[in-house]
Amino acid sequence: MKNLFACLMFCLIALPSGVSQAAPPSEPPDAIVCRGLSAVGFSYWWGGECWCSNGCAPDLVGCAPGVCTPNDGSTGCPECTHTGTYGADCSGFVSRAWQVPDPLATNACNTARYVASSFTADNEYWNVVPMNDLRPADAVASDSHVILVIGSEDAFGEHDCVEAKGCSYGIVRNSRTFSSVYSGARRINLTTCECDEGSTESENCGDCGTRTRSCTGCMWTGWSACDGSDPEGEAADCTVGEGALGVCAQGRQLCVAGWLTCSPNSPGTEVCDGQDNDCDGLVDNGTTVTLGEGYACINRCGEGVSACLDGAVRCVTPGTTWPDDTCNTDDPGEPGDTTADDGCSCTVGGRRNPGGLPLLLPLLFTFVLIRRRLIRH
Amino acid sequence: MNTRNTRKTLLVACPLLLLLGLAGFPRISHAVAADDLPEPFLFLAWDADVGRFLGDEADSEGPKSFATKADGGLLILDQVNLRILDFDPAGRELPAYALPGPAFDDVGEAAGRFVLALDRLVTRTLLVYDLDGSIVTELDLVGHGIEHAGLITAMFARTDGVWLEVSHRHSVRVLDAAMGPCERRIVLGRPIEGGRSLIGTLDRPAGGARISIGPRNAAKPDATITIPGELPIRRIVALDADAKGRVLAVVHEALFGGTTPFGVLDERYRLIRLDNRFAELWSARSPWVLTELDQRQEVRLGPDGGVWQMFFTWEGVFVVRWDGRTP
Repeated sequence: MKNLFACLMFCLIALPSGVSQAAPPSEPPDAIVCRGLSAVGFSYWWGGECWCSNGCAPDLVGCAPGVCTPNDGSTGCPECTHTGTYGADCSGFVSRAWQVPDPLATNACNTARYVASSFTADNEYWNVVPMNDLRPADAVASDSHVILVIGSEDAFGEHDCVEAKGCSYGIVRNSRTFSSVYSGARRINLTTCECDEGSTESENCGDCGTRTRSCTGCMWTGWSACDGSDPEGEAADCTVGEGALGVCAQGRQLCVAGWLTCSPNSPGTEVCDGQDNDCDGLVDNGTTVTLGEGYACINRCGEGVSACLDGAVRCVTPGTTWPDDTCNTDDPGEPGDTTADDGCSCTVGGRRNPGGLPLLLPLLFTFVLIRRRLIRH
Repeated sequence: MNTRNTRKTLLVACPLLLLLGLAGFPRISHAVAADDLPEPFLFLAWDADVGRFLGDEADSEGPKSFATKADGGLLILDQVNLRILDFDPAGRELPAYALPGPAFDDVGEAAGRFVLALDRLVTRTLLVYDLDGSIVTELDLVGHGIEHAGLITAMFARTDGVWLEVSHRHSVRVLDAAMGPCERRIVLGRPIEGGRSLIGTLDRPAGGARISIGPRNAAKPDATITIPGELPIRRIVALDADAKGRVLAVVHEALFGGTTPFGVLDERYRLIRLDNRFAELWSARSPWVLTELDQRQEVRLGPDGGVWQMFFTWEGVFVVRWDGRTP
């Protein structure tokens, strides 16, 4: 009964006597999309079809949007109250965006319009189209709701839409899908050639991106995804912050989907380089293998073992407390070194635990580990 | 039928097939047939248990979203009644969370101790509740990486924070792990654990769905698979990965008539579980597809790898658990 009453109400609104109907203007789909976007932010008004626009933007200052309030015990219209001059329901919104049944300014109120179910069948002003062939400026309708499509299908098969969704929502821009009860409709008098074949145009998007579209078959294709080039040189360096540790606190600036973002360095293998490569907050705390420790080596002082100290692999000689106590002629047992305080620069050898050092090396390595821990803390 | 020739063929073919199988062909477990449909885990009757709105020159809606909790329970977004229903793992109802408005259309749980409620269209905010039901964070959605809140297509709670996906193309980290606002970081596709991301794309006009996995913002993915449709794939309904990197892809397959009014002739959801190298582990066909009641999230991947679906009938809301678990 409620639906019957609603239908009668809308049929009366849709077909007022003495109002002439005129074919919708010849215009490109972009003009319809623009008109649709100019309604976003206005209220849902059951039976309404008007709003104020400023180009493709809503004029929410010059024309205050109304307010829709469900009546007590109701969750929506038609058991609702609307205050204010402007607003639209779903079919009033699409009727005006499509300029049917009459081409009128968006702020013309209390005029003829269609109901949602009208858009599910062919009409003198539109034709039903397959749901897998939706384009910007098409409508998608069921018996109780109608939506204006403003964008091409996205990667998952959803569409960018504008709809007078309901009393609680108003007119909103919404990425959405449609169940199979919906059908598509395309208005007539869309400009058959809205651009020069092969031409392209682009516009900025995000904060580092551009998007383009090209003219194919006299129609603009949908805008490409927003994208841009990554910054180069010093501009590519960035700091992640937020408590990120080690090398992960630094990163590279990327332009992702048209937006600049600091992409942190990934944690890596902890090596001996004075940095926190694995981002655990500790420097040079890898395994003996990743740090290159425990290899037999020879320095000016004699035979030693490699160890990670102060961010570099050093050759440490038994009997010294290198690097604090450098290996010099004052130290006993240094073979043939006559240079004072020359340090124990070393060459890390490829041999691991050679035969002459099997007993000495574990003791020396233990000493190195203890010393390294003392240095860190 | 020539039995001898058949035997001969089998003798040759079987070892060949075995060799091919050992050579790394994807493992294909049995697809769940229609008569293997799962029993409902939860049923909520319209109006008595859960709200719906039947549009009259407006959009119709049921619970817009649901989420699986870390403890195995469920959250159901009952936005018509201004609340989030909370259920324990046995399906027993717990005290609900109160919503400040009726336009919320996604819900989630983060870190096992926060509940998320997303309103893309009206207030354009993300609310974070603690387990006592107090709002601890209220975040404006529009900002770096998000130009239009209505174009947010998904919300993901990960160990490194909360991410919002925009136009099924890129995701923006808007909250850190402590549920505080953070410097917004952007990745292509959907972030998953382990610093990786999933990217899904309909393969037009071929009719399949292409899925890639790899490090976040990598120039090239590690692996890509194209799922062919048994019927033309109309939409990717869900795409996610669990902590072990196993992927769930759900596609809507639909066949439409070729003449006016171009009505649907056959449709279903196909649910597919893949391992982290995209070998198929499990698949099922669900007859329960989107109805005219608007619904944002229909399928969720549980923390233990279980696959959950929420669907509507004239009686009410059903939640079923598909056996998508793998060892």
